[in-house]
Amino acid sequence: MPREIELFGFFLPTLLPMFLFAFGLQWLLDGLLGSLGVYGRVWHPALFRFSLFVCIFGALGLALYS
Amino acid sequence: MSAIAPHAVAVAPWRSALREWPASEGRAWIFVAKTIVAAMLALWIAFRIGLDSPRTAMLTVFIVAQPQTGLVLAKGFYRIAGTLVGCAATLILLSLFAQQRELFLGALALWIGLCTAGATRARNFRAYGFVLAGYTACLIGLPATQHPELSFAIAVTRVSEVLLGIFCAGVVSDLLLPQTLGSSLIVTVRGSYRDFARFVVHALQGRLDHASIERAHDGFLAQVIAFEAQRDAAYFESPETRLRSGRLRLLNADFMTATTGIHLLHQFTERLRRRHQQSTIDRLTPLYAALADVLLPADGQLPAMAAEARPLLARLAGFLERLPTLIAEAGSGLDEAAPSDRLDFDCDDNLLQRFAEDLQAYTESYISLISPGDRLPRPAPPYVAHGDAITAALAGLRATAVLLVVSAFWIVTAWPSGIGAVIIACTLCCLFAALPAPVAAARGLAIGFGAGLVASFTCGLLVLPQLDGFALLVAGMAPFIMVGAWLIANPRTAGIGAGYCLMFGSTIGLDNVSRYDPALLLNEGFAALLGALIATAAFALIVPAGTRRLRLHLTRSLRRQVLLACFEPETGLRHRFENSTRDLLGQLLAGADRGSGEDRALLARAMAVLEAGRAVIDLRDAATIGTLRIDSRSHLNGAVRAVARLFQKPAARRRQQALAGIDSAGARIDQALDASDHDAEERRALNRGRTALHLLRGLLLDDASYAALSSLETSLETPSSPQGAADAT
Repeated sequence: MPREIELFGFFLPTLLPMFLFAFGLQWLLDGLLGSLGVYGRVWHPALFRFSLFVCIFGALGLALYS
Repeated sequence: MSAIAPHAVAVAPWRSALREWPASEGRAWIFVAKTIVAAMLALWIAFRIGLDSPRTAMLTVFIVAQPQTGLVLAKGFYRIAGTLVGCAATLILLSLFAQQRELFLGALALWIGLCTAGATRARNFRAYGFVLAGYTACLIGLPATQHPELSFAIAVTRVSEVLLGIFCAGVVSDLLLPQTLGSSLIVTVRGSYRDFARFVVHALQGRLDHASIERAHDGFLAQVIAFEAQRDAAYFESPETRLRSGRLRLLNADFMTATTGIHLLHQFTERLRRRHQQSTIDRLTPLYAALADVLLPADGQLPAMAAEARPLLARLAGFLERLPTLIAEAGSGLDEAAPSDRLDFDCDDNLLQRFAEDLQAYTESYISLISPGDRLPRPAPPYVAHGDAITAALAGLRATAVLLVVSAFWIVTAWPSGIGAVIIACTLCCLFAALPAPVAAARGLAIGFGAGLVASFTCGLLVLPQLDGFALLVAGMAPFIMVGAWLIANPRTAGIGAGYCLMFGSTIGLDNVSRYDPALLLNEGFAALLGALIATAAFALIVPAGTRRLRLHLTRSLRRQVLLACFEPETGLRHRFENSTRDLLGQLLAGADRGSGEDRALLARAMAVLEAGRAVIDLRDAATIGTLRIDSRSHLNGAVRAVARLFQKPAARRRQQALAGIDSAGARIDQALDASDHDAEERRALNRGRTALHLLRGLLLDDASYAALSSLETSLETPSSPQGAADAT
């Protein structure tokens, strides 16, 4: 996968669309976990969600830079 | 022992103060600390990855800084959306007019006008998105006019810095000691249910006078509007709140309907009292008392939580079942009385029954909050805001005019810092267009700007040059940020705080290469200050928002809401009519002169409008019955039209015509009810239509209610007599 993508003659890091994709994925997963009631059993739901996002984005990033 | 006792006494208040601290002042200080952490995090990342102007990231943190997480996320979301749209628009405009600065400025002015008009029509943070789309175009477009070849780079930098700032603010707000909207929403919902139930019990028992009922109603309206804003923002907070969002919307709509129900009931009884119909009132009192007993259990405790409201729901259902027998008992012997007494009685029963149904619906949706996985009791209607086209167009024109004037001044005088003034003036025109008192808001911001300039001067030129390294930079800036964040945390000074932080963040001059340039700082600062002053002047001079003419227009639209009930298509009309009328009333009340009794006059008018609109919708329902004779139907529609004409412009002749139309329609319905070719459902609708006609007749004959429809205009047209408004109520 290319690490930079071209847009109107400018180079953007591929991480940027990946970030947005991770965000969408997180939004979906968040809704699913919320409706399953997982957040009721977690100490710090916000921290859990943030960590989840870091995991998703990190995994996607690894696919790019491994 | 005697040595210990005073010691224990001295410690106790400290302990209790320490325990209460997180709930009172502590909230503000937690917010201050979080703002500093978020700002410094954004600044550090921006320096670390070498963005072009790190201070924009820090500035963004200041701008979206709000005490509650949901507000930060909602504001951040709409800020990102607005920034992206504004960016795209600017790049398109630049590609069209890059060679011609004047043409570009003209097109930009039009864009700003459009966005401002949109911001005035939209509500809550959606309006903020429009504002951002407008002024991002200024922020990117104006510097790009001087370096067209760099426009794309400027846009990319701006977007990535804004994203970084919002990301940091959101993460810090959500992770460190989060204060969520979701939890405060629960408290609000519980409190308002209990308060409303208590209010209803007191009102039904006749323990409240007219003035305190009006005051309570004013409070309910404010609750409805504030609740919608909170619900809207809490949507971004967590999936639990998202799951409940529809339920909360339903709850708010039901609450609104129920508050109208109780007020109409009260209004009708009041009117009976004014007409000295004591015998009818005596018949009704036991019915009211019965409903009050249903709400108030034997132990006198009103439900504090949704689960505790379950028995109340069962009791309400029982009451609605018993109600026909209760009514028959109370109405025994009425057949010998005059037909108008019978109608009065029927009318009031009808109102009572509807109110009990409203209350049942409200309780039902309150209880449904417990189990968000289940189906909604009823589909949740969307919140319908009243957007006024003329106000929006005027706001748009004002923003366009300001941009054109200030940029003409900039071009003609070749003022090097002119861009700063243009940007600030435009930003404020967008930002304050939707506020009820923009001049006061702009003044607060200008004060904040002045203070921020002083702080930025002190910090940037006296403190920072002495320091070296990021840790010391943080230490040097923290006290200055603290002041701004603390100002934002207190609602009374939030405007000043926002101005302070904006000015401090934008002139502190934190760039990758640190610069020491007092002249530049002063030039930029004064340009921003001048921009703020121009915007303030524009709000005071170019179509002032608080102007009598505009208020006159809005108070007229409040009356003409009835036309909506008369002519709009019927599906979902009840909710739409009710909600937009209330929203308009809220807008009017926000800028009302409370000293002169204008708020009371507005409330009286809104109540008359709600009453008439509800009755008209009932009448239209009755007119759509399939088996109604065609000429009867045309009489009913004629009555609707006559009422519409009266509410379009009240006049003595129109009042007579409307009354005549109502009487002839009433005769037709009586005729139809005597004929036996209708089934039970249709008879019910016809009966409702009959009581609606009687209600309308009572409203139009009652001089106090009729005066509420026309007196406000006269008091607004002749501002020297504030008495007129007070007399109307």
